[in-house]
Amino acid sequence: MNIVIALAAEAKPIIEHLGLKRHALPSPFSLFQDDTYQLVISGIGKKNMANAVSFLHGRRTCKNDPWLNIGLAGHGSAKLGEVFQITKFSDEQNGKSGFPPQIYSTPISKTFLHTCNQPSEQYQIGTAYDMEGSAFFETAYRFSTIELVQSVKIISDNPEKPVSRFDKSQVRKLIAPSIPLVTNLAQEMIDMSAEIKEPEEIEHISSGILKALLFTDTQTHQVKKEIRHALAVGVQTSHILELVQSAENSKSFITSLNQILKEKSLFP
Amino acid sequence: MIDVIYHENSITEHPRTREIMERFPRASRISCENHKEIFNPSGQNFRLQKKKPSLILAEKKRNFALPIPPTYGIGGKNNFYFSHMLNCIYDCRYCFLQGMYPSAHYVLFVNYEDFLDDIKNKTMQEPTEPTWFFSGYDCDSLALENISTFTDSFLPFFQKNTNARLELRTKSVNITPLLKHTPSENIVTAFSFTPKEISIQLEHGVPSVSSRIRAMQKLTEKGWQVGLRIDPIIDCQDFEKRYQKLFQDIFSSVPVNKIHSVSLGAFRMPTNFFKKMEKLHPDEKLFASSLEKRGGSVSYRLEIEHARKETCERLLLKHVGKEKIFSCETSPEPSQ
Repeated sequence: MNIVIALAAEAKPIIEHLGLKRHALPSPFSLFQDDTYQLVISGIGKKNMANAVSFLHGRRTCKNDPWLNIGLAGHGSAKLGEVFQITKFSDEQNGKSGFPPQIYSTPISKTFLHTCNQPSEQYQIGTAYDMEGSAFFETAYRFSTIELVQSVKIISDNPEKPVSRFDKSQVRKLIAPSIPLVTNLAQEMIDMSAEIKEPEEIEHISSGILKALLFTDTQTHQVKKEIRHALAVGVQTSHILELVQSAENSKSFITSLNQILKEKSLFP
Repeated sequence: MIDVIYHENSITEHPRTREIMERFPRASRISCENHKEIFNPSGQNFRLQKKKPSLILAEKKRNFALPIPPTYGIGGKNNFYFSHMLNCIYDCRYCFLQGMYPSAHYVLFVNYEDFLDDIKNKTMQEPTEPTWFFSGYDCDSLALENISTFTDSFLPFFQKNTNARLELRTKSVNITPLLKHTPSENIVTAFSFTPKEISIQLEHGVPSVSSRIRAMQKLTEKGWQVGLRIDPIIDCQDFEKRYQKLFQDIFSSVPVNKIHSVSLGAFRMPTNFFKKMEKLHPDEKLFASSLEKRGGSVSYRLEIEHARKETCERLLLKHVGKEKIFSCETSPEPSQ
């Protein structure tokens, strides 16, 4: 799970809550992690955000990992400390917009997000304002299916208390109450991501078989597909490994595996 | 059930939009210029969206009723299909929608009046011949009736214009809205079936075979005509035994004189749709079966396809006359 946050002050309560450890090796961004999460502090602005997302992806190039942006934002009609999930983002500069799919059961309220180049005090009702969101979405969309790219904003300023009067010492107070809601969403995203990832068992069996026998590229593709199907119809891993041991060559292994698939499936 | 409703700005004030919005007061409402902004972007995952689809209310601007493929039909000469909705609440593993659409969100075109105008025009083009209109090609005709109120909106037109014939294709047992209306000879509710064991494995979220048979029975008791759609035919172990049982169960409950037509359709899928479906469900047992690429499609080997169709026809002939059995071959193409 990748988490991207613009400022260290915003990240601190989340890092503490998740118990993440600072990454010891030198890196261009402050990085915190455990076995499940890697969290990066991007710095302010779209360019920093795009770089931080790419940096995080480069550290662990995994397709369809979940990506969550958490941060403070202004809002045209919400109270300070209210938390929102972003349903539409737009960019002041390039005019691009998008609609992150809402597939989670989180009770977090929804709002639009407008990303500006500079802090803005021209608030519109029902819209949140930040300086990184659009770049987060546009960059993370390259690395994951768009359902797994989400942003959550906690309101730090509004027309009654505009950004020019923002008190930095209030950051923890604003963010901390929302952490349980945000981490629940993160867990849902992790669960969704797991659903569309190839089970490790398949990769493990395939790599063993591909080492034991000599396969062409086409056969390699076929073997992976058939192992997936064999496990789906209830063939035991041990049975597949026995077939490898008794096979004379790759072709005879594929033939035997095919035979078992035909016998086991409701669909011949 | 629906937590998020997207709506095109052009239909925000449409009475049907307002009615649907009122029915889901807690849903988040998100406006857009065009439903394609939400429905069409690349990089979406149909499987994940299927877990919690949103509703998109949109305006259909053109191509309301389109000609059906030439090898499809139930005996009529003039045939069109129309889709007031895209996508379906059910999750059938063999369904082409998951291969055809980038998104699993439900798109509901609220401007029914424009559909009906087009249907009327097309019916008037052939005043001496009946014209068939097929609903349920890109969605299930009845499954989302509680949101769409489709039957209440469309049935009165067909009841008045008997030269226009309507097929409502469905796997739903939500027949209450139909039963409110007087039966019409020109309206056929057509139920799709696979044998029980196949349905359990492949038709996720679909009412059981027995409950669909009961729904057919209820409709016929009230004087409605029904259709039977064995489409797609799925090859399986003990094929003949399973399909024989299915037909026996149906024909022992539904009077044959109330069966308007039976159609048979082989499993055929455009290759690009199939690849996408396989990628979405790599562990799907159906895709492990002996399907092959033929032309631009993935299907059973021709001899299997013919043999299974012939078996079904032979089994059906024990219950229903040949004149009611139609062989349909469809190769779905995007209709957007």
